[in-house]
Amino acid sequence: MFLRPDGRDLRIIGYHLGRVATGLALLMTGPALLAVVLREWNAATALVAGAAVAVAVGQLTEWRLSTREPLNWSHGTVVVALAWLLGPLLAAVPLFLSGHVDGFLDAWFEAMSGLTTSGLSVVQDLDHLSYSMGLYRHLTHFAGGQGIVIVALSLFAAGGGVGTLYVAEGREERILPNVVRTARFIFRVAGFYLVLGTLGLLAATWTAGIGGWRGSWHALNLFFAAFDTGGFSPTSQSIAYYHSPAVEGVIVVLMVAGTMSFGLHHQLWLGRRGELARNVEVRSLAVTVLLTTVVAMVALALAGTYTSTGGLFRKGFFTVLSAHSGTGFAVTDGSLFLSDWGSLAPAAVVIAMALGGMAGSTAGGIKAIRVGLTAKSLVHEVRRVLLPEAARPVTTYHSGRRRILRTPAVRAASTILLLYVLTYLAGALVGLAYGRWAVTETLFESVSAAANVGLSVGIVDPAMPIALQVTYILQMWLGRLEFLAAFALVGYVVSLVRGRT
Amino acid sequence: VRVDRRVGWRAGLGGVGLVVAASALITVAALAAAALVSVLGR
Repeated sequence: MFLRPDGRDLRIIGYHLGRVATGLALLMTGPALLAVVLREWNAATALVAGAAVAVAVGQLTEWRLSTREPLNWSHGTVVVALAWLLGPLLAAVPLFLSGHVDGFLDAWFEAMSGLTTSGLSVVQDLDHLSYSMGLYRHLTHFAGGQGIVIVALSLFAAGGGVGTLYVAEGREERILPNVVRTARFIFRVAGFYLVLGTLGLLAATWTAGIGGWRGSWHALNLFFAAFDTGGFSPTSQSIAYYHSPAVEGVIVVLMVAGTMSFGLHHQLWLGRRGELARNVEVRSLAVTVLLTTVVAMVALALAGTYTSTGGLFRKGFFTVLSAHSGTGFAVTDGSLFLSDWGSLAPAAVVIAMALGGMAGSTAGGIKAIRVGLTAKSLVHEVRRVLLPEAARPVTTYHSGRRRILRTPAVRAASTILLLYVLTYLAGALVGLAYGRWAVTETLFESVSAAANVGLSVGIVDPAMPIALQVTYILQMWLGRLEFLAAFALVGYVVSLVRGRT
Repeated sequence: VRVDRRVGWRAGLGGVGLVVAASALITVAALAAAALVSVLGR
């Protein structure tokens, strides 16, 4: 039986949640300033009102619950879980006031999708959304994408449970020995890519015929969505809008960079290029990306959807990489996945979405480390069966350095993998319950939500059923938290009621 | 906090270069696969 949390614990949790609210207000100020400059008064009003609400909630909470007591492991977990659930409520206010969503639930869905870097959207008339509100939507990707890593490192690294979290992700050490330095490095990587990626996209959109101020706005928004593996797009046609191999090429690099763990970025910045060949996550990701790409291409050729090299490459590869990296950019209309792509190609996309990118990146899904460790474990078991009984085979993998595959790491990886699969299936079943969609459609959408991808076959829509919308919100939340913090929150709530005093 | 020179902007350019190289490698592999599938599909 757990100990019942007392007022001191709740005070610590509330105080830190207040700080998150204040941070969200800061997120709205940049787009609000842009709205004023561009004289987008409706958007300016919505953003200033949203910032005011967030500041009021944040400051009131911090003032009433002010404390200097440090967070422990359980506090940190509960703060993270609640911040990702309640933060989008505050982030939803400007979207709700923008007039481009049908009610507050849609605004919450959009904000959750943005902050968890999912990219599923229920915004209406997206092509006429103001520039400032468009920037705000994409900034939620950047804040959420960088935030989750920082929050996880800052909060958990100080707690006693850090080992559990890192083993679950197949890691046993921080990128750098100091958490502040780690956070600083992550922001440096993001800043570096922000400059280079935006310049690259600026050049690419210019070649696509979008220059000047509009080109800069497109480039910046596309950068946020690509590097943070988000998937929101400035236009309703996503990347298909640009009809540009140059834009797609720059986005491929940014999606690859975004799906790489910051640990791997650190190794590469140190010039350790051998890590690219040896790292278990890189190998796992390369194999699954290429396999799902080939399956999708063969299926598209067999279905007669695309038969030329260019068509198979630009549609098949881009879509699979977009799905696998958790980005969710589309180069084809979502409804075509089911009407023109046959059965096998969408299945390859679903598998790519389900597997996801690297742990410790902004990508969602099961993660390459878990896939890699599970595959290694399978090979290990086969070797154990085939070798003489007295033999004790040792299986190793490379992640920063050579490591021995041990049972706790495999067990943690397998458990999370199973939880993802169950979440994918649960969401699909909820969709099926409505009797309006086939299992392929509901599974596609469910995996897209829980793996924080953003590709859609059309179920996600402003007119979607409320219970299904709430299901997808919870799936995006669970997928981003990778279950541990969410379960800890449930345990915390139970201990509030039934805990030992 | 002191800035670690090992992860300064020069190192960043090298890191970005390696990411671009990795992206190019996987893109070329996918392009080769697309060409193969296209030829075999005729």
